[in-house]
Amino acid sequence: MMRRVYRCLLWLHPAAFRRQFEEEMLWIFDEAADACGAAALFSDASVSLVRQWLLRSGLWMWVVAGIAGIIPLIIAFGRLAIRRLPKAFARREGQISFWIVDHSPTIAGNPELAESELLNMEFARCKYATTG
Amino acid sequence: MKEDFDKFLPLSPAALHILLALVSEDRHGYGIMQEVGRQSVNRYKLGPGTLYDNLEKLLNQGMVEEPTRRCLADDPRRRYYRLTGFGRRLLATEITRLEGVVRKARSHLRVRPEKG
Repeated sequence: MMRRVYRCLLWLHPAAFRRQFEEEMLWIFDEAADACGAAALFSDASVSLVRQWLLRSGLWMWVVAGIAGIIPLIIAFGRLAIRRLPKAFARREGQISFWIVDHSPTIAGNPELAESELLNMEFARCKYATTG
Repeated sequence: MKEDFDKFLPLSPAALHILLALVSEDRHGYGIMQEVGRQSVNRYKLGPGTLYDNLEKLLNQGMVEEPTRRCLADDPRRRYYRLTGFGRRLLATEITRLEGVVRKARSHLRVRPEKG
């Protein structure tokens, strides 16, 4: 059972490394599992697995390239979000104008109510402008 | 022609121990692990993953080679490794460098060298 798990760990290594050293590493496992302890051999194989994929196979270059590619995207999206704020602000201004046009009969009929409504909207606009 | 060892030095602890283990004779992987343990009085333990990662590098750099002749009675899974002339000279250069480091450290710390 232990040998199978160890073999699986070796099987996960890059093919070139596996072809060259798999049989020998299995042989060492057979010889040394009792003396060194299977846990130590498993942890060594796990570290080796990470090292072989990340450092020796050149995968680290892809990881670095991926991170280097994502950072400008995050910055670009961040800037886009900041630019959208004034647009939202302008939309709010536009809503007030539309409200005046839509409610012009009400304004004419009940100017006090219209004034209070407009004051509420202006208060909301100022609050929006200060909080951003 | 003078060999340029600068790009290989300093050696990593694992590479140094592996080369030292191969100085006296050709050894297979498990033999190297045991010899490293013996030389360091079990203070430095080398696992198969670390061993073969370093052996791969040492083979590619020409410090270690695989002898073509093998004993027929041996387990076919065993592969032997041998220190090359280049590896031996590089190891000697590294030992000289380490001696300089130890000398310097001793003079700074005012530690007397052990006799024997």
